[in-house]
Amino acid sequence: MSTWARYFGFYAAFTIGVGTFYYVLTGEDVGWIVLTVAGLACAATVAWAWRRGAFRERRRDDDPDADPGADAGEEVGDFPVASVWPLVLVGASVAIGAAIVYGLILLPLGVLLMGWAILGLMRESRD
Amino acid sequence: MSVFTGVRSTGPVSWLTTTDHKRIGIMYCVTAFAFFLIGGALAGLIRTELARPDLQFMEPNTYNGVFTLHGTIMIFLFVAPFGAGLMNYLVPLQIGAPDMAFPRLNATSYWFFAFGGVLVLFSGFASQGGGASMGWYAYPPLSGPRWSPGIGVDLWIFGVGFAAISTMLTGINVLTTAFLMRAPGMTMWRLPIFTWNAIVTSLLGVVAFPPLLVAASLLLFERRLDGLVFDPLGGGDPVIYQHLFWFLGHPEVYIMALPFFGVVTEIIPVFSRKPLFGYVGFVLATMTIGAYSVGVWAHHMYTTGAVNNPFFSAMSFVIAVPTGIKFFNWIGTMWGGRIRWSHPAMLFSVGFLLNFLVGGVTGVIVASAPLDYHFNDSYFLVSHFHYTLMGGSVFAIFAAIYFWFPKMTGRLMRERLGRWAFAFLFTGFNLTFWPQFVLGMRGMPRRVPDYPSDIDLEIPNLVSSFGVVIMSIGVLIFLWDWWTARRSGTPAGPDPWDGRSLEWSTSSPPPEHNFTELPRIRSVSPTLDTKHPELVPP
Repeated sequence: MSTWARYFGFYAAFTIGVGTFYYVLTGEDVGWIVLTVAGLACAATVAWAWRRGAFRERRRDDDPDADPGADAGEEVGDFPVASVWPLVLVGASVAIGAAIVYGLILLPLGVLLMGWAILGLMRESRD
Repeated sequence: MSVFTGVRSTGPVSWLTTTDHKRIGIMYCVTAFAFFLIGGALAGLIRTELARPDLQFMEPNTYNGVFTLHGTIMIFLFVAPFGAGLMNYLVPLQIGAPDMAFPRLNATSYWFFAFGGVLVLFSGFASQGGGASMGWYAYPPLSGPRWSPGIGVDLWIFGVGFAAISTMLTGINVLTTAFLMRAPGMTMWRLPIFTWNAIVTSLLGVVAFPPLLVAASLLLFERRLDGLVFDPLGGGDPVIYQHLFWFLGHPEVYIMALPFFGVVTEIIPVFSRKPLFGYVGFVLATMTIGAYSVGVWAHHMYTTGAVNNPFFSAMSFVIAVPTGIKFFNWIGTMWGGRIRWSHPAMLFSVGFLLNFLVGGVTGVIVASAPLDYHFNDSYFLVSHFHYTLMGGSVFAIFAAIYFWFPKMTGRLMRERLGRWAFAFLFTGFNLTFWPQFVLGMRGMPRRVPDYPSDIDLEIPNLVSSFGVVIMSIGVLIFLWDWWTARRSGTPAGPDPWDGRSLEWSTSSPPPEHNFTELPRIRSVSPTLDTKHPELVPP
């Protein structure tokens, strides 16, 4: 886990560093803001990894001597084979978008579908 | 231990509701390739119009709509989504995981892409008051309500926005999967190169697409709610849009290139029968490209006079260095190897190297601000980016299909037809785009349906249009090969190429949970280690 956290740390330092240099050089706001926000997003991920002990503990996938046969068995969760809710969710998003383009009469349909899809996803992930 | 819930069937409904990463990967690739055929047909219309001077069969505004759709489809709906499809299919298999980390999110990503694609098509063909005809980067004020009052631009905004959401969700999924679901022993420094490239691509997708969504939302705000953001007549600043768009736009070039760097880096060692030369250097070069790519966006804006040209020129020159390192990796891998030249995957990979080299070198030329002032908005630029994206990424897409088709379907495509497809595509591609360098140097601007009757422009345009005919024959041969091999191709077996990475140690096609048994992972080539234990490093 520490390798990718270091990579994110490098990326955060690079983008914030370049963004700062760019701002000092040009005084241009948009580029500075997007670079800094990108860097801060990566830095937040590194902070999360640090809190999870990424730099102290080694996971089995980071152990070069681990054996999939002997070390397998960790619960990685349930994997659904099928779900209709992603399709409904995106269909709802299209309906909401169409409401903005063609007329607000489509908006209730989109919102209703969106709510139904979110509820469906929540119920499905509890099962 | 993982658990799969639900019952899998084989009907069309099972495909519509699937959350299996392999099926979603295949759906991504097939849908993206269908968009490629539509975008390619539009390119054929463009080249037919330009084969001779004067207007042939398209009005100027129709021509504008056609090249807008062509660019949008190829950028947002073909190359990048095809890469997403490969990442979906391959990353869990290469790291020994049973699926992506978030299977439902994965399906959501696909549907956002597919519906976004349909909206983009509607934006050009079925729009009240006029389709989208403002070019694929939709600069305001041209894309604003004053100059594009029809709903085509609104549909375009939603279509591209949905495609952007899809890329971001896929990026989150790939990063989580690659970081947290690797098999025991699959350390980060044993990841296959394709997976490393998928990681960097995904990070770029997550970082670079939000500014595009911001730009698109502000444009929609201006168009539908009478907002004033970009329109200079209302006190807005159109350069802000350009900054936001190109902060996506240049990383997007690498989002469209890096997965395919990964593809050819998987293929070349297998068909050279040698390990990759300089694995660590390659990974570090990929990371460096990923970092630098977010710092070069305004080299697309040199001629606005509103950006610091020396800064962006220097950054753009530097990014050529890690790309050059990769060429050393590829050539070093082939050097002294027992290369199997006859296989289409290897031929398309070498075609990628040659074409991408031309695209890269001309990229260094236009990275120079003074030269860019000369070449900006000319056919030189058109040729440059087609050499990188069509000659580079699209050739790698064909290589990927020939390489992993047996894994996806359990059947082999025919090598002889593949060689013919390569010959037509490589010849046709260079006939189409090399003359466009000449046209650009002679001053022909892009995005015009007509040009003066002048021998300096007529012959290169005619040759360029003829090249599209040759390329089309190559695509038809490929489609015939693909279509017939699905049902009647020779059974492939689990490892038809003497492969190296983990996907070749499971059946073709893989079972629902990907692996019934994982080999021990002792190096970057675990499948090869199983076949040749004497090669395992101590």
